[in-house]
Amino acid sequence: MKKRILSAAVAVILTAAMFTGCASSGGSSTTTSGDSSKPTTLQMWYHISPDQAKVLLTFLDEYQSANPNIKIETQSVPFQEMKKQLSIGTAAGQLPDLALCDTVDNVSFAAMGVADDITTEVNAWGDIDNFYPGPKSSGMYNDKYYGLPFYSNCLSIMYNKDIFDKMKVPYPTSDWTWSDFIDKVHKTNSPDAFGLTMCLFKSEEGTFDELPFFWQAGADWNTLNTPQAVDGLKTINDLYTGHYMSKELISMTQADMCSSLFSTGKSAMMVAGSWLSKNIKNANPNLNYAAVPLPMVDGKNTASPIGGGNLMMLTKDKKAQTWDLMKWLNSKDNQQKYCEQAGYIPPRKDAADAGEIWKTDPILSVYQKSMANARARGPHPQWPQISSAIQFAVQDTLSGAKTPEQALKSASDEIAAIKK
Amino acid sequence: MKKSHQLYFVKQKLTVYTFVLPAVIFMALMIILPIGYNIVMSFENVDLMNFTSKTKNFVGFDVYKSILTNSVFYIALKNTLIFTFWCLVFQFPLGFAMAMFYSLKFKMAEFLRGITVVAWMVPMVAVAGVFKYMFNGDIGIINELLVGLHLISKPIQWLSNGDTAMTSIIIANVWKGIPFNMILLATALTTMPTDVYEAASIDGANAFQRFTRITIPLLKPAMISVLTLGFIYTFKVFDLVYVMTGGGPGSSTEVLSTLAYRYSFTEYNFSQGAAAANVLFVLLSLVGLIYIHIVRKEEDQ
Repeated sequence: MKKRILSAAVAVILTAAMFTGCASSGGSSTTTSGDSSKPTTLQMWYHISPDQAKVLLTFLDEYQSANPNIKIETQSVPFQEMKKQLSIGTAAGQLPDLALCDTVDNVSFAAMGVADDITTEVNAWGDIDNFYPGPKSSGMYNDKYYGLPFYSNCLSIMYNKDIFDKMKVPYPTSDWTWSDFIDKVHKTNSPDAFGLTMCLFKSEEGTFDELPFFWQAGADWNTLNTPQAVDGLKTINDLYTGHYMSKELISMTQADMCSSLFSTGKSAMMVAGSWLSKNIKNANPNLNYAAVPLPMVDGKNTASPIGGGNLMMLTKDKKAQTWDLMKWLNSKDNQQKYCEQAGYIPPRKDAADAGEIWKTDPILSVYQKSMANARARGPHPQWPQISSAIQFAVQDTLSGAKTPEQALKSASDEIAAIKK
Repeated sequence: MKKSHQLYFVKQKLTVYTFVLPAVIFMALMIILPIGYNIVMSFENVDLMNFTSKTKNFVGFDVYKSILTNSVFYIALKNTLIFTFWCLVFQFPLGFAMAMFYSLKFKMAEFLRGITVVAWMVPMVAVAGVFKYMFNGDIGIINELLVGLHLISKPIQWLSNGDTAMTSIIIANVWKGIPFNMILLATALTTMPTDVYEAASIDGANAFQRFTRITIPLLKPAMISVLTLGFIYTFKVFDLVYVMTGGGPGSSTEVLSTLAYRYSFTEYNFSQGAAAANVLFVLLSLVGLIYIHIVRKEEDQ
């Protein structure tokens, strides 16, 4: 009998232990700022790669030593996982105070009610007019501010000078047209190297590289049922099925294609963002390459989609402290320093003007110029779904499952069904 | 006297229940609660716009209707069935053959069997990564070998072609599934009574007769559970497809699990994701029920 009581007690204790385990793990995250003398802890999530995160962390250290009453806890979330983690965090009621996210997702999180409205703070700040209009609009939803762009980037064409020399093709110039571009892709294509490399992966990275092809033809995400959109998709499809690009691009991320095709000299040109020059320098420092803006259409260089990262405020009760940190990170000097060190373009015009690197660096200066007529994707709160429809249209066409017309028809039907 | 006797039994029962309590609570929190939440969500139309609001509207079967009217669902269902069918067709007989082979008591048999199982212990993501690399159309070793042996004249774009992408994933999964089938059947084989075989030999049964008349009937229960487990593991494939093709090109390798993931986490259609996952859950439960039914019938005989 005694034994039985004992064992029952053990079982009860074990059960209780499970509950306390749950309770303590749940409790730790709900600690709020008590009296003002105690330091406030701010939690921040970021999605940038380790090299760039290192730069960010030194900035945060600097902020903490200047503000001893603020403690910043950071958590790295992989680029692809950020959307998922933030939605799980929302469901669980455990969000950080501040998050650095992909610029295109900012509006989605605003629509979800996850990101805080910071219009009052932004207007009081008075620095917002220094931002380029494109990046600025990526943080706006229903004419209110829900985020601030922290760094930007856009697309240009990078080309391998050695391949151009070998094939005796003149280098592209900034006033080249789309027919010049296609012509150069054809002429630089050889058994040793593909004419072009671009991301066709089924992710936001793919949409990013594909959009300029639609834009140059006069189509956009909301006009996919037009002949112009078919033209745009055919441009990609002809290059792909004509063996001017690697067939593997369909399953390669931008970093993958850069390291295995362009950096190794297996591709004459690459649709690329500025950050990839860092990857090239790491993979093959001797690569002889340059950058040129996207080809012209109607006497203007085709707009590039805007990429980059936005800072979003998610906090419930530490607005003042979080805003102070956001403001500090987005000051002209800090934004300039961060983008210089991490290989980006500052979303603030005054920061870009102040930095020498965007005028003197042969690669970054091209991107800096392209930034002026860069365009935001969407912006639409359901962008992830729209983007997914575009990716499917492209992949279904390239894999031969559908004709460009059929693929774009189903994509535009799907987009039309998305609630406005 | 009688009363204390009753009390004794109640107490004893209570003790027994307290012992299962931790397990029950764990199951409730970790398994039943999420499944229940998923079922509720699939009837509520939770998406991007109302995700954070507390009020969610009940929409009945609307979400199921919306996913069942989308052709992608049937593509995913068909792909899942094709994948499961071909995986089982190859990995079960091959696993069985290997189990029989290792049951021949030759030198190193135990050691080689152990080595084979290593393939099963490698994490799925690692297997997927390695196979993705091997099947690469430009630099993959599989094309290199096939071209070198003059079996094909020009490289095959294994993973970027809608027709061959599924084949590549099936090959990867069969490679990983064989040891699983092998080890379970080999274990069952070691428990076979040797005297039955001896008696059969004395009666003049040849090896083929011994296999069809003794081995197969005696192994039947083990074979059914291996096939059921194999079906379930294969049917709910996710990581392999996600890493190797991401369901692409287009939706040519989309399976139910990757579709559910895409609905929830790339398109934020949480209800559609939940509904797709529930369809998967119901189908697998059916397989489980069929299994239980077969096992009961076996036991009755």
